[in-house]
Amino acid sequence: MGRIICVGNPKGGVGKTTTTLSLGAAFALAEKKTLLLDLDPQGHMSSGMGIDKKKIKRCIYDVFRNEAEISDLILDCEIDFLKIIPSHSKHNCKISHENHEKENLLKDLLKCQKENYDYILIDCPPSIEFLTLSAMNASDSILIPLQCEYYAVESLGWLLKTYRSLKKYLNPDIVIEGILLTMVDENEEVTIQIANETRKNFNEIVFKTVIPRSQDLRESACYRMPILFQDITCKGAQSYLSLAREIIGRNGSFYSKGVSQ
Amino acid sequence: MKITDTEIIKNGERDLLDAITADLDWGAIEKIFLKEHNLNIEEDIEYKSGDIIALENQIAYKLEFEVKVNLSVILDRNGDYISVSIKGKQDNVGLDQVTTAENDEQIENDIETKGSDEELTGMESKVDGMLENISRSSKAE
Repeated sequence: MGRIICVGNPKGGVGKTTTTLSLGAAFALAEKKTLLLDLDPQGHMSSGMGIDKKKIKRCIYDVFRNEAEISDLILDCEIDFLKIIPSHSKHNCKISHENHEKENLLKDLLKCQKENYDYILIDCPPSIEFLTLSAMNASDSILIPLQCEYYAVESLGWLLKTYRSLKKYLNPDIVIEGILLTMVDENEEVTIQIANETRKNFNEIVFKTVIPRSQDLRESACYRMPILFQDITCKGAQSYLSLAREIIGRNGSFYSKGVSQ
Repeated sequence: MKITDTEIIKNGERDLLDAITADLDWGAIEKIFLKEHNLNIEEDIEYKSGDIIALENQIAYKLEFEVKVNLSVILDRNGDYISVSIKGKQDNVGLDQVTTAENDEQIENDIETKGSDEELTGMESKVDGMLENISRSSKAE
């Protein structure tokens, strides 16, 4: 049975999409069957995978409205172990208020896919609204990319409050997969300070792997493919391989001492 | 100009309230306290007094109860207050009930006194502490 991990942080530009895409690619290279779900209406992860968004006829929102089957949306990627459900902004997410089970729509949709994959990674929009909450409700865990800057830490507080509330009301089994320090520049004092503060306060849930601020990662979007498929030897690609190893290597032991257990 | 004895009315009203309270469904009362006030009461509840009132142009009966509740104050190992929680349970919740941090006070009151919730509250406090430290050291520079 696969593990559903949503990658979320209400602040934009902290590395959610890059993390989802690159981690998914790293899992796939480790021969873990991985499904990427682009839940952000901006569809950056879809274009990052080289998908022409103009050609997307249907996306997850059509499934929400019972106008498509989730299996019809799954697209192949460059390597066998990686699939993606794309998104596009032209598909706005209007859910009928008559649907009283709307909070469980995504959860129910992904339940049947769990057995087909080792990992399902969800790229959340940079906000806390229906799509993000649905993703958190459907997930086994949340991975929180934390850019080492002040506003991102503020957003972390907001996210943790939401997480606590969601855990009480909707998804008591969700755990924090980990906090991932992103865009780390070891020459910047504020980066060092925030990284140290984060480790001091949340040590047990902060990934050992950090994602460096790197030109390779910034440029990877232009190539419209995950960085691991461009240059697996570069620093950015290696950091995501390391993150994948860290998550796979836990073999479940982390969850028994996770913050929610 | 009196047209009847005051005592007759008072006694009649008291008898009516006694009849109502004599046949109360205490299980239902407990459920109301749980739902409306998040108070989980099993035995320590006692009827104190009642009154006949007008509510939205209709006769209504207001019943006063005395309830004994246990409340907790939680503090961490540094002696700092963490949160006060009332054990309660809500039904029929959906995404609408999940906070987007606009109703912090409600969360504080809603969260059950489970260990994980205390841990999570502690995590939120840590973020506040981090922000303070970052600001302080930036100003010092």
